[in-house]
Order: sequence, then C-alpha cells, then structure tokens
Amino acid sequence: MSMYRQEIIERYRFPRHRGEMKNASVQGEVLNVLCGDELTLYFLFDANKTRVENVTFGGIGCALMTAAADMLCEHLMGKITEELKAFLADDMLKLYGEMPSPSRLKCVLLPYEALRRALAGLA
Amino acid sequence: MFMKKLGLSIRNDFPIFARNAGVPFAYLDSAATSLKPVCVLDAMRGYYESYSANVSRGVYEMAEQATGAYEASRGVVGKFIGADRPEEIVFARNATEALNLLAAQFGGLIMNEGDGILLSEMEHHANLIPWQELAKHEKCVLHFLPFDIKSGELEWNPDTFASFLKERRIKIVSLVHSSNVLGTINPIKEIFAVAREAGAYTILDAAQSVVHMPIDIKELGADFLVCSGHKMFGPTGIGVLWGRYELLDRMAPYQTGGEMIQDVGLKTSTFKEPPHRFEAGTPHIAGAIGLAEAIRYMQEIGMEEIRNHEKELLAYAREHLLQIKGLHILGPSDIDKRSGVISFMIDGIHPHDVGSFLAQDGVMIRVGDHCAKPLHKKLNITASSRISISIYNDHDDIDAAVNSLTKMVNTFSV
Repeated sequence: MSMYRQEIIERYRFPRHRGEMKNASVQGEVLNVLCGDELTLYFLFDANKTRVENVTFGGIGCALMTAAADMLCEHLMGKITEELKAFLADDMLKLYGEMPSPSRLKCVLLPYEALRRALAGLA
Repeated sequence: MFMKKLGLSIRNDFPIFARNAGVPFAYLDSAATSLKPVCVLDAMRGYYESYSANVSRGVYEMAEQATGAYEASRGVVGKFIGADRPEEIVFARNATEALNLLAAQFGGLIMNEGDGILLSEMEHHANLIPWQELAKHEKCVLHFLPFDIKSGELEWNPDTFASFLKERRIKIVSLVHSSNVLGTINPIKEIFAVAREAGAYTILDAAQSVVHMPIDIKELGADFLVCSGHKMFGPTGIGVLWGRYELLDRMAPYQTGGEMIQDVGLKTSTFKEPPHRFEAGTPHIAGAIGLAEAIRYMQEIGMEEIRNHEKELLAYAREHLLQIKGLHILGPSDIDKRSGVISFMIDGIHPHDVGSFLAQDGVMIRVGDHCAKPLHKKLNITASSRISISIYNDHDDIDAAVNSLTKMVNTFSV
C-alpha cells in the first residue's frame, strides 16, 4: 500500500487546522531531528481550563507530519484535559490509520510529542 | 589495456543486485556508501578463511602472510593517490576519524591562541566539528570561504587570498574536494598553491572525490588527505589518512596501547615511527585488504573511464530532472565542475516525502541535510533530496528516478 493515500495528500496540501494561535492557553513545540522541521501545537482552553475549545498547529513539514498534525487537532477538539493526558503514542498511530516505515515513524509521532510537551506546560 | 564497460554490464560484479531474487532496484545513494564488488568480498573472506592471524607480531608463516598483506595495502593506497612512500598511509576507521586525528594531533601541535583555520561553508560536518573543538581548546579562530548560492562555487579572490590568509594568521586550510550536496569540484590546486605559499598547511577531504576522478596529492598541493574505504567500493570501518612523512613524524599518537609502542616501562613508554604510531591496537586487517582490492578494481577500470561514464550520466540526469515541474537543482550547471551527486528541491514537496515516495518504487536516494547543516541553512532550507551515481549506475536508474518523481509531482498536485 502506498504511504501516500489520498487523505494524507489532501491534508498535506489543504490542512484544516493549520495556523498560529496568538491567544493560546498553552503550546507545545518539538523538533524533528531527522529533517530539522519544527512543529507547534496550540491549545485554547475554556474559562475553567479543562476543555479544549480550539487546537491548531504551526510549522512547515513533510506530508506525514502535516497530515498527522491535522488529524490530531481535529481529534482533540472539545476534549477535556484528562482525555488529552490519556492519549498515547499508539492512539496517534491508530488515528493516523497505518504504520509508517521505521524511518518515518518519527514524522507521524511528532504531533503526539508536541501534545506531550504542551501538557507539560499545563501543569 | 583491457577496458570494462561500465553501467549495466558491470552489475554482475556486485552480488547485491541479486537481492530479492533479482527484482531490479535503482541504487542512487553511493555518496552515502558504495556497493561492494565480489572481488573485495573475496579478498576479505580470503583473509578470514586462509590466513587470519594478527599482524606485526607473529613469527609463524601465517602471521607473516597477514602482516605482508596488511602492509602491502598501504602501498596500494599510497600509489593510488600519488604518495611517495607507503609509510605515509595511516589506516583509520574512516575519513571522520582521520580528520579528528588531524585536528587533535596536528592542530594541537601547530595552533596557538589567535591563529586561524580556514574551512568552507560547504563542508561535511566531519570537516567542521573537529575544528570547532580544536578552536575551543586552542582558542584559535575559524574562518570560512563562502560559496555562491546560485552557482554553488566557492567565492575566493586569487589576488587578495594570500593577504587574507596572512592577516588572519591562517595556519591550516582544510577543504572538501567535492561537495557531497552541491557536487561542486572545488579549485583545490589553485587554492592550496596560494595557501602553502602563505605558509599554511593544506588538508584535503577527498571522501567524496577519490572514487570519481584521478587524484594526485602532489599535483593538488596537499599536505594531508583523508578518505573512507566504504565510499570507494571497500568495506566499512576502514579509512585513510595520508600525510607528508615529516609532518606525521612531528605528531604525537592519537590513541595509545598495543601495536604502536617501541618500548614500555611501568611509568613511561616510547612510540613507533609513523604510520604505526597512529594505529593503536589490532587494526582492521581485513578492511585494509578489502580496501586495497577495491582500489585495484578501480584501477583496472581506470579513473578517467569512471569520470567519463559518470559525467555522461550526470548530464543525462540533469537534462531529464529539469523537465520535472517545480524541480530545482542545487549546485553548478556545468558538468565539468560537478562530480557524483545531483541534489534538488521540488516546489511544495518535502524532501523526506520525495525519499519515501521513490523508495516505494524501488529507487533509493538520500534525503535530509546530508551532514551539511550550515550549507542548507545558507540555502534557507532544512533538507534536500540527493541522487548520487557510481560506476554501476546507468540510464535505467535515472529513468526510474525521473519516472517516480514525475508520478509523485502528479499525485501531489491532483
């Protein structure tokens, strides 16, 4: 099966959740050591700081990372912080829908790492 | 003289092409590491099977045979690059280790606080970071020859270069012969001539060039040269440091222990002459034997023959790559100034996606920063895609890459 199914290419070319968020409650930044790309996830929480009102991502990267980030933003919308904390690397792969080749695993897991980084900033 | 035809017809020499029951693949990553001909594998196997004794100490025939083969390998390497004597060849793990050895032991010997080292902006990290460390320890200063973003060529002025070197107290000029990203063949002979005239020592990183063209260290005016066996059809784990004997002789050992000592007491020891002074412990005997066989293999083909074959392929690749929408080639457009590699960018497609997409079509290329981050930063990119070619490549490999790239551009623009 191709690593570049239609959904991946579509989300890469026209991501729905890309954009810097000026008023983010918390954000998580990560670097992909494989290629030097950077990714930031921005979270806006409600007044109680428990529910995600908006998630976006910033940074330019490969199709795999961009598509995975876009999927993650969509998935996390409206979730509560406990749900964010319970989200694991395996969940990221399930959300992505396939297992990338070993050398590209990092690209798909980068958004998940950005989430962990953001959660660390929440405490 | 017997001439081998290169490309498709030489693939029988490389057992790896039988991999996956002979399903064809396009190996276009020889700048990372070259494939190995069967004669190299046989030579190494021959050592392990028939005379695998340690070197330099046994008094029995098998040990003498091993020592003879190991030492003879120095002669083969030396002749290949135009060295005066085999004792000028030091075996290291790879070019990286050879450069670390030089920075620590030669740099440490001659550099004083405030002295300068000249590198270029297109160096592989191997010819950058050892000098950064030296600069830190000796409080000396790194300087860089810039390259032109458009042409990919070094920018230097022959008229003012000597005064540039003197003003900055440059004592070491260490340059890459041909860039592993841009492909640029640098005007080493001209630069080194002025550098030596100005009293600087010259180091040539020939890791990328030595497999692609004839090299004569005297003609190039080098004091030292480094290269890696695995990029020249030899095994991994063996590399070469060549240095002028009188310079090697001034240097202290890099590592110490067995094999490199003359006499040992409990508190002090004395060391052997070069090259053995720099080869502590049991060396990579099979590696040196394999490397010598790889060099014989190249010599049998002829370095001019190799250069001509690759120039023709580079021109063919360039012409066909440029027909792909949104593809831009980095480095010189003149094939005479280019060797081994063609790196490129495609508008709107990340290099890592290029690499993965081509891999699905059995085309193996390199993507990333190619251990040359400062070069990429100067070009304002984080990564690029690189096709590199060798003697076993032919038009079919380039066609496979171009077809896959065309398919990819179409897929990504639907």
